[in-house]
Amino acid sequence: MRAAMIAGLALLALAGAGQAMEALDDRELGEISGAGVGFFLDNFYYDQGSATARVTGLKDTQGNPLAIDFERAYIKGEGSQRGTLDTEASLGSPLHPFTLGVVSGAKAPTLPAGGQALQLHTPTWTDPLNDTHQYGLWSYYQGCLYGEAGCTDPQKAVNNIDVELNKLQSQRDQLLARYQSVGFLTLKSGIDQDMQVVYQRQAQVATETSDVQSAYGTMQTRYAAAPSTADLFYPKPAFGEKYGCGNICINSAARAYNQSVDAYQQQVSELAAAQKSLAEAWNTERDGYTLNQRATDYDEFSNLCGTPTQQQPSCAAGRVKKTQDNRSVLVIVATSLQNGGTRVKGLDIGIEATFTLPSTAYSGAASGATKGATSTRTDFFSINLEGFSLHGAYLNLWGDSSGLVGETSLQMYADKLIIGGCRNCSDANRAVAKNLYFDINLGHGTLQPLSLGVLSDGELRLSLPGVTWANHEAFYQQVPKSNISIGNLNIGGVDLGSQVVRGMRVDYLDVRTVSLPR
Amino acid sequence: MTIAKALLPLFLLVGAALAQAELRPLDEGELQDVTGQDGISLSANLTFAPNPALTRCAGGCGARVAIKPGHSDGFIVVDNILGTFSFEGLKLDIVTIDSGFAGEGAQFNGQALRLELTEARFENARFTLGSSNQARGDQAGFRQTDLLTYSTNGEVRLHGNLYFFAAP
Repeated sequence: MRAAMIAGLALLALAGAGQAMEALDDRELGEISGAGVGFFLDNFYYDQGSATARVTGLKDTQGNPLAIDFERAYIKGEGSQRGTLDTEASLGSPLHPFTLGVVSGAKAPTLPAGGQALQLHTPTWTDPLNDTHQYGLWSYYQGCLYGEAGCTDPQKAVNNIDVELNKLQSQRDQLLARYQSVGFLTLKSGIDQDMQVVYQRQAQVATETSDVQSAYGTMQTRYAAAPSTADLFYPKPAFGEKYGCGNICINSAARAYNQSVDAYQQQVSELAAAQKSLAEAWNTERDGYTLNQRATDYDEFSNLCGTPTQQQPSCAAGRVKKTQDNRSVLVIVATSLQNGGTRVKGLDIGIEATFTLPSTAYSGAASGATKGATSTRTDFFSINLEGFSLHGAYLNLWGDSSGLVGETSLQMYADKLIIGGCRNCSDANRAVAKNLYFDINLGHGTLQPLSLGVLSDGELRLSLPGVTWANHEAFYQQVPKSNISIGNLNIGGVDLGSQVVRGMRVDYLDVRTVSLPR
Repeated sequence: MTIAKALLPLFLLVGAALAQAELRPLDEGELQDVTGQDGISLSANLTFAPNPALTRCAGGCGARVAIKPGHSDGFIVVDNILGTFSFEGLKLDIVTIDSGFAGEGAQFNGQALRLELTEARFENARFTLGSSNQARGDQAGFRQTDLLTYSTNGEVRLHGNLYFFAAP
């Protein structure tokens, strides 16, 4: 209890409170311990200034040392004109701080039952403009950077998704009309029934294929054993052709080979017949459409609207529903922007670096190039991020029998990413990505924890366990996917339009370092 | 026994009594005035010198920090930390946030520990990030994979206030 009192006193003293210094009782202390730490940065900027910074120890593929010199690095507030102004940034705020603490239950729902994790959580907002999920989705459909010339109507995103949605809906309507008189359950049972024949004939094709392979093997063996001349007159034919003496060869090896050629050809024609009858099974007509068409239509409809559960199904799941849901998010974001809503200002981050690496000159033709002298080459490289935010991201770490494990969700959004390879040039000579959204999810507490360890030989290892037969259903339902979207990508002044990678999931990952000889 | 020796305990007693009279407990109002008024200003000059006895690195190795992730056989290391890191006037203070921050201050209405960042200087500072099979670098069978070495020299400009508080 004495220790508790000291702790209590120390806490009060830290807080600078002028109230009477009462010792905290055990219950009160219990409430204090385990609470996390909140922190935020205000009026912040970082500039490398006159300092030099260098990274060495890296090697190129030839094993030559490579040095990266950072000429300039900065972290400043949005609007710093790529670091030239000392614009102050805020990372978080009193009510939206970074938090570091031990969490369990609803705050880390994917952990194993009863588990606790150390969680670092970035500032999180739930309003549509600052929730990275919602704003990131809107920015992808918007394409252009909101606020720039020609990009002042936030409804553009809604119009763009409407085009996509209309296309999906007309596909759906076409399929619904096609099978309206049949009904989707009847369609499915018809497909199932006709598929039985397909399965039988597929099995037949498999059998015939294996017969062909075995007949081919026999033919090969017998060809090897066959004489160079049979019955004095008949020279050894090309593989697959017969000796001229046919079935009356006196030489038994030649006769056996000739028979194996016949057997092989017989098997080939049987396989062709089986394949033909399989194709016929796919062409079985019912309700005016072939099985192939019906199966394709049914799969497409399931993709658009979810698996049908009634004759005239509603469209309660699938891509149409998902796009409709996305559309309502876009409408909320667009409306907030139209009503004058603003986003919490992000960060401007940039580095300018030079790479110093050995370069070997070659001359002559590509096939017989002559190796020239090796000199040192210096390349310039710059990355600038404008309006960068990391709202709503988290990292959970805990320990289990396999060591240090974790899961992370990175929610990165940036108005602009500019990558340049030239020191004195304009953005027309650089790669510029606008409305960049990275939704990267790695690891899942129970199904696929991200594990970090160092092996006994001193090598670093990062791994994600693979999906197993036992957990595959839960795995594909629950392990979060990753998405990357870019509203517009422009390289060297050419617009390449929007780019998106959706629904990435790592099935298995094992990364290890290897120490190369120096 | 001299008189002086006999009187010494008496003097001490009187002295103690006088001192006690001066130690008046501060009342609550005064305590509030005293506590955490101006905060603390910190200046530091941290130098890591190479240890020539460690011949693994050219010119001797600097400081080494080894972290062993649970159930791992090896260590993640920040090795060969060398050079000088210095800053002047880093201020530490307890402040009440009850206004500002776009209206969030009033809602927050609480106290926080504030760290006022300042310019920092590096003099030939460097470290190597790597992974190793041993915590120390001077034992038999030692193996290490260096990932990269970062070195810096000069003054960086760092500005801003870092606030810490107990999160709910």
